[in-house]
Amino acid sequence: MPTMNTAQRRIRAGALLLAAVLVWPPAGASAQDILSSQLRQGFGKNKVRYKDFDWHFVESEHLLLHYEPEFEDLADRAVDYLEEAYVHISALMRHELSTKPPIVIFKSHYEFQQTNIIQAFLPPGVAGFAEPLRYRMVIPFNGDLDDFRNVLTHELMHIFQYDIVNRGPVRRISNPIARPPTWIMEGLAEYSTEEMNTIDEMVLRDAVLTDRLIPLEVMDSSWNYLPNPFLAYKQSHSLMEYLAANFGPEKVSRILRVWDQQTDTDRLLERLIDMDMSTLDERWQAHMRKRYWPLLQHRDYVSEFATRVVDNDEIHGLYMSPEWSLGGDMLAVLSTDGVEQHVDIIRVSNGRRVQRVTTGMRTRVFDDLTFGDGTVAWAPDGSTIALVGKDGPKDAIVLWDLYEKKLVNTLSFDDIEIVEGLDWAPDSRRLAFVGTGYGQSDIYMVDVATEQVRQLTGTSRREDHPDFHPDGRRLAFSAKVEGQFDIRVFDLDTGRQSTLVATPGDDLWPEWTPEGDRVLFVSTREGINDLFLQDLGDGREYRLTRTLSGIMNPSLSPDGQQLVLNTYYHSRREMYRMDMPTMPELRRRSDELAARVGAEPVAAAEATAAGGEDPAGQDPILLVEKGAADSAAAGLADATRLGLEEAVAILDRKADSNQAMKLAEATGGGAGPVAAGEGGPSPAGALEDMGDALRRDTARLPGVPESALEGLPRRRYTPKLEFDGVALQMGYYSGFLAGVAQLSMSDLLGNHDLTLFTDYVGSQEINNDFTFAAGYSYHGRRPTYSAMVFNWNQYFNDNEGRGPFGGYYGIGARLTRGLVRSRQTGVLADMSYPLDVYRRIELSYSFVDEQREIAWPVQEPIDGSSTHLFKAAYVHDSLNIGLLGPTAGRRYYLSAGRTLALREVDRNFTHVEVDYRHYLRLGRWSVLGLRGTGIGSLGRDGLEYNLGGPAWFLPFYPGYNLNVGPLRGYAFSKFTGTRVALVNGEIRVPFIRNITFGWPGTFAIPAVDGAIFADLGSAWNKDQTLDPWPLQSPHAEIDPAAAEEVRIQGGVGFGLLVYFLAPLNFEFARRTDFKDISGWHMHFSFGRSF
Amino acid sequence: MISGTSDWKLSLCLLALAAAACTQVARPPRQSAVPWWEAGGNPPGAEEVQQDTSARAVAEGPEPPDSLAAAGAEAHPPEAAESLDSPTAAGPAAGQAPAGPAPPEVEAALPPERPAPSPEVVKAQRRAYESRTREDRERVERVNEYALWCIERGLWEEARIHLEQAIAVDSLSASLHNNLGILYERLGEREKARAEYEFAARLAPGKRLYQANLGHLRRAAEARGVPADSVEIDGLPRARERRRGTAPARETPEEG
Repeated sequence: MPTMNTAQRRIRAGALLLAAVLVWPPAGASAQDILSSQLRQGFGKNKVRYKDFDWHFVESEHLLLHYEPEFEDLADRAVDYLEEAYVHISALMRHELSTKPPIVIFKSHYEFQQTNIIQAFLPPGVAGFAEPLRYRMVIPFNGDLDDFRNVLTHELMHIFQYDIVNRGPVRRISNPIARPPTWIMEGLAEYSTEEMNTIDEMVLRDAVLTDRLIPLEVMDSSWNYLPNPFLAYKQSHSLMEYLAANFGPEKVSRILRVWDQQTDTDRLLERLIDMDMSTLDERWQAHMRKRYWPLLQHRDYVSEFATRVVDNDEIHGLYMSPEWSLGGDMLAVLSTDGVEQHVDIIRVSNGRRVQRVTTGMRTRVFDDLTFGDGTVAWAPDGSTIALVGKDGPKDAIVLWDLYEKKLVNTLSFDDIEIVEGLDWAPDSRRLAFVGTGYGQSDIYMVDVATEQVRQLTGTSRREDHPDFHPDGRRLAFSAKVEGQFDIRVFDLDTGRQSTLVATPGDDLWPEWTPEGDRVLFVSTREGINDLFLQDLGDGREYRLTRTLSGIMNPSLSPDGQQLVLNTYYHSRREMYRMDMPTMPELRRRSDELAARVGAEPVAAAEATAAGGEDPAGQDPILLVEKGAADSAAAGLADATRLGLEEAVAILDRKADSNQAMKLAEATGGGAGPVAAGEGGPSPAGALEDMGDALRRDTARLPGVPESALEGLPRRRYTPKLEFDGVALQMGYYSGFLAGVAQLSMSDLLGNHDLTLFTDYVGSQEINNDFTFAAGYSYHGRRPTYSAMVFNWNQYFNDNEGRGPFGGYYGIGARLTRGLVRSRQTGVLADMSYPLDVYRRIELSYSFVDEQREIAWPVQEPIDGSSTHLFKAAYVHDSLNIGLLGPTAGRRYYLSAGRTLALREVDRNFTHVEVDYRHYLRLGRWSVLGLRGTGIGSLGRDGLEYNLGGPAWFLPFYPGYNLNVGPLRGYAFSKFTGTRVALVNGEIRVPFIRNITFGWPGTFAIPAVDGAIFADLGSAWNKDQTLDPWPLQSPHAEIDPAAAEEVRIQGGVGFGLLVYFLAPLNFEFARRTDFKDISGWHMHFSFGRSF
Repeated sequence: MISGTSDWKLSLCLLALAAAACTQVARPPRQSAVPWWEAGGNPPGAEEVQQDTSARAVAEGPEPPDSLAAAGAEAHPPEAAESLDSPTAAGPAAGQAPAGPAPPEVEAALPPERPAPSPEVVKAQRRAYESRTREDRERVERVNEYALWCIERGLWEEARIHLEQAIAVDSLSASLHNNLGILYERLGEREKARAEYEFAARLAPGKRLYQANLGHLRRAAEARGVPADSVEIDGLPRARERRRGTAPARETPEEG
């Protein structure tokens, strides 16, 4: 998704233009190039800076952490986690960082999306990133501290990797993108975090059991085009565990150093473990099969006891978070086909769509649908569906009336940025949800009529999946206690909590039965998500499933007779429906499933370590740390990994007896299952809060002592420009050796960008003039600003022949053409104000003064002019863009510019331009693209634009930025005029998606499309008229009076669009003037289709 | 991985178009986008073409509230209220229209009609009717429309439960009772259906479609093989018009 800030785009476009003009100086290049660059409008979505951040930073022993004071507690935790991770990774990799990495944390993903450190759009799936040049890490908090810790550790490992691979400042600058294969980088980073959770295992297990593992050679060569990147991460993680378990953890430590000497992956592995890539892959796959295939004997496929709801084999089809209708005939689900995301109502019986809820809501009601766990809820009275959409800087709950089929209200809340886990109360007035804001997530309840909000919980632990009891006075939810989720009950009358289910694993997704005397839930106690039912009457627990794949998002029908659930099968999330067994049947089934326990071959939770042969190698993380056991800090790091009880012991040893005592009290009060009703006004919640606080204290200990943490220096952030990179371009043109140097700098947060250019022209005939350009852009506020000043000289041969000897000058006995110098001096200033993600207003002012003279062999002025240009534009862009071009949506702009002629020699013209593009989906990937555009550069000195050929031929090709668009069948820039009109229609259909070739080498082509198209357009000048009617009689006489009449030109044809590293377009077109039609012409071009 | 089916269909269409640009291809007859009751065709799953008479409901217009006095209406049928908890296993599966004649167990002769309620009961109901707020009436109308939307799509259980819920709020809406009767009939609960038709007919004695539905039900019970789809759905034309934007949205609350 193109999200480059407008101001930054301007600077870069201007810089490229200047560089291009110098290195490939086309004859006649002039100030017009710069002006047209300012006038031609760009598309792209906006990175909206909704918030004025107040950045501070704290410096600890190994890092600099940037945060805002409003979430200072979270920052303290982050420092703890990072220092602990540093110790762990440093020991693992046997390396100390050469510098303190600057780390930036945000309190939510939506604030993270506003970072300027990276210009690309950061979709919800991105948990953080680290960049190799300046070692910056940027991480948002997602509501779960354990996840937060894992992401911090993962990204810190990347910083270690960069530091190992790019040792020293020279290699950091010269070699920032030379990286080992991604599976090694990501595998190591995953390996450095905690072990896989049950969802990770679910994905990996499914790939093994359904024979869908990604071959290592494909991961090695085509990581960026893998259809299932999540699986690739998990495979890489597992491969690292396998290496550590079977060849020793020191191999993991060495892998990057070996890569430094040998970058070919096969040779790297041979050098490291005496095994090539295919052998490693074969052995690892054999190991995985041995691990998971025995499960087939004792576990069931979900399809053995449930029916698939949606019969859809498309890998991109996804249906999740099912919610039952009142009558039980329908489900509301989140759905995606890989292009768009929606809330749909589907039939339970056959999975077919009955109604699309979110039609037209994107851009009008919200920026994007929030596609998360429990972000759809159907009210018990059946009349209202609640869903969540990101509206501006935070989520809003959207209420959609099923009776009226329309939106009735949107609810957003102060300080709550992310909303998920929706659940309606039985009265259909109150709505419970999980809200994340100011650095923690809690459960809230809102009255949708009065919009009054009540916060139900208030701890830093993660809470999730609220579910109202049928009496509407209690709420069950999952709460993370001591690193594991238990099911707790919140009494809305008294405000007290009690524990309902607490098993050794995570207990998730509670669902009350309609009678309210039983709770259905998912337990991960054996490492695989299975369904259980807790009977509150007899206190017994019943097992409903023992599945191979695992279960997510169970949802009971209103009558309690049926259940829909998600599972992971064939590398995608599937939705199944099953009948709820009657109690006698449930007892029989539970006993039968329980009887299989003794025969369970592998408890997957225990099998997360890859090796079976070497028990000592099962937890290489601890093994490494225990190797450095003399260090108290390392010992404490072990302690926090081992859990609270062990932490108590260690604290005890540390003579912190008071704290240990408190901790023991807290764990004693909060742990263990408490039957419903026993909880009453128990202090469990308060004790757990205390435990929570103490855990935080405990977590502080490993890396930095508490006192040291509190004493760490904290200061307000002040921007300081640092070096970003340098680019050099060299070219040779007609006797000149020319080069451009570009130096880029920015501050740590990316709010200030400064770019400097200068050039060198090597020639015997002329002295090099001082040439420079300096661009600055600022993105720290919602409106963005940019400015550039330049004094640029360019040279070209005097093709007009101004010399005294037939246009030539005499030098001795030799005649030669003169050299023309064009000196352009000026200022470009832009301001862009994003109204939202899709719309913005742009204003700009440009001043360009151009003076041309014969520079050699004599010095004679030729001419000169100045231009003051003001421009305003409105831009709308809500496209979905695929690899080869837009797939849905529309984009358009209107722009108008006017010069201010202060002198007679100043340029004088008015510019108007409109461009409208609409893309209609004809199938999952097929699209009909329609475009209409018109440009008028009116007045005495109107600029001339070009028309003809493909849309984007080659960068820096003469006139490339003046070419309006594709008029295929004609030579590039065949037509020229101050007025241009163009209409395009194109149907693109998919031919191939994701094809991998094994020879020569392993490479992937992710997409090949076919296209048919028709173009109509014309370019004409002020003294010409356009005949808008294209058809003409073949026998018509040419009227001399109509010689200045310009006709519409047409082109039709077909094309093959191939994505291979970049979009490559092979187009075949016939041109027509509607009298004759030509033969076929072929065009080749780069870039996405219009 | 090969892309979606519809994309490939489109790809093939494009290739066919390109290859046979000058060839006249016979087009298959277009499938009507008009709903079955409007087109006079079969409902989904029905075997016989039924006469559409729903336009009469529009011609007749809403019943004036005064007709209630002459209706001799009884209280909301207790069977309907009980049906909230009654199993519906005898009916067709949710989302599926029944095909062919109704199963034998629902072909039993209908029991005799029950006597009309006392004048006091009628009076009390009338007071309740008159005390309905505009919001109540509008809500009932919306539920009715939603039920019709469900019926269009064969979502019988969904329609039934919403109508029952609406009747719990407004038990004197003739159209709600008529449409609930249709659903009961569709679900094989003919006794409940008859009670609902009768109640609707008493509430609005001038509305012939309720009598017609009752007549159809009786004939279906008497003669095996008479499909149940010849019933009249009340309110459907108005709902359609509202969707088309040709009817006043909320000016005239639904008839009593």
